Amino acid sequence: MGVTKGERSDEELVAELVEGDEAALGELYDRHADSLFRTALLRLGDRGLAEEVLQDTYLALWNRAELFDRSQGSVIGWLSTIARNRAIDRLRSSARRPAPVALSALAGTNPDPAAADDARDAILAAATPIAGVTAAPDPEREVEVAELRREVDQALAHIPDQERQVLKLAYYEQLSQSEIAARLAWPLGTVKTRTRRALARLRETLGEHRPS
Amino acid sequence: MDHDAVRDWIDEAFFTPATRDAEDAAARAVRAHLATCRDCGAYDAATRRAALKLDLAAGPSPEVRTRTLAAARRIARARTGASVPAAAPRRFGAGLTWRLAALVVLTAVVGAGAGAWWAGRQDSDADHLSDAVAMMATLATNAGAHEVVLRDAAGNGNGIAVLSSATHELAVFATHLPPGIEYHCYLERGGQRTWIGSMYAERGVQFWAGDMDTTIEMRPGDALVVAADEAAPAALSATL
Repeated sequence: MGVTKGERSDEELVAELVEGDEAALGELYDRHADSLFRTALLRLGDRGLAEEVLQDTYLALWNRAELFDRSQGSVIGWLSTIARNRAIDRLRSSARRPAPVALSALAGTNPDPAAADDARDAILAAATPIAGVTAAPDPEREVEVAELRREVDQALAHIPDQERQVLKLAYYEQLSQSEIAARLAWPLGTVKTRTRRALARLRETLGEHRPS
Repeated sequence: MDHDAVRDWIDEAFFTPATRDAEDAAARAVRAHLATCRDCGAYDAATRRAALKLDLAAGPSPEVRTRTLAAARRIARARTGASVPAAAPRRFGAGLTWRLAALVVLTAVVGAGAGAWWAGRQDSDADHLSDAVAMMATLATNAGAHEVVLRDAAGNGNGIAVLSSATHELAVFATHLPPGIEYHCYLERGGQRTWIGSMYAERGVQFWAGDMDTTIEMRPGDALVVAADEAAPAALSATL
């Protein structure tokens, strides 16, 4: 994220972190958390783990802000390194967990491995250290994320209202089907049917699934 | 397992990703089925692709920001309190063992030496240890937290855990474990273990600290176990 006139730069915020300024941590979080989260998510393939890595990354910054050396690169570059290392730690220590999501996930149903790698690199580029001191926005990456959000918005818009409602409660609020039934005062069977239909639609649009 | 059952499981995992981590019979049957069924494999891949896109587009939950800033606040308080480690033990109450005090001192040493090391690697277990001890120090001051000593089969107290069933926070530290093995923390009830986390290792200390999965419910009589894997004998354990 860029720095506009009157805003403190990332480096100024880190200097304030050294003094224990919690607001500076919040501001750095707001600037870079999305990008760092995507970096971790693409490596781990698990939203919960990616969120843990994100938290670990900012706590490492909080604990070690005085060690940031601007001559070595940007703040976002430093944070990205921490996030990647933490994600790798998680992968190593979670041998029980399945492998991260295949990054062909971003390249369609018949992925060419090279295309999948390109997709991965394009997304990861968001968190790649950027030359210079200020974390300037990467226009290409911003466009890709914006396109992804547009794709998701369109997919959700094509789902009937009631199905979208159960999908959001189940996916984003993590409510069980019984809880959804209670909240919306719908029969449980109705909730199950609508949930199944909503997911089937998402699988076809976002997942590009063509039933055989 | 037939196609419909496998697809039901995949749908369930879309909404409850932890399902994929399970090591139960259903999960094993699904994995075996997916290894040979192309259609269900495509169904699974499409489901995961949809979930990944939703997550990438949504970004982290707002709660992560709240949790992160709250944790930073706790660490800041602990850091202030731990600035004089020699006098620190009294802050944590009469139940504090000498091992806890030793770990606070250890952290001070690790923290002081971490700078040069950090410059070379930028990230390391050393700061994990420092974070973990800071968290433990904070946790130990909470009214609802209590500590237990982890003992090996011979009864030697070679570990300590501070935990809070109210906040689901846990900090575990162990020493004198055979090196070269990755250890894990488990909650054990009726012979069944629930995985809590994989321990980090640094300077002879094996440790884990953090928020436990909210599905893990600690009850009196449960055991906290440190072991090499789910089926391995407990290297250390304590009854809660």
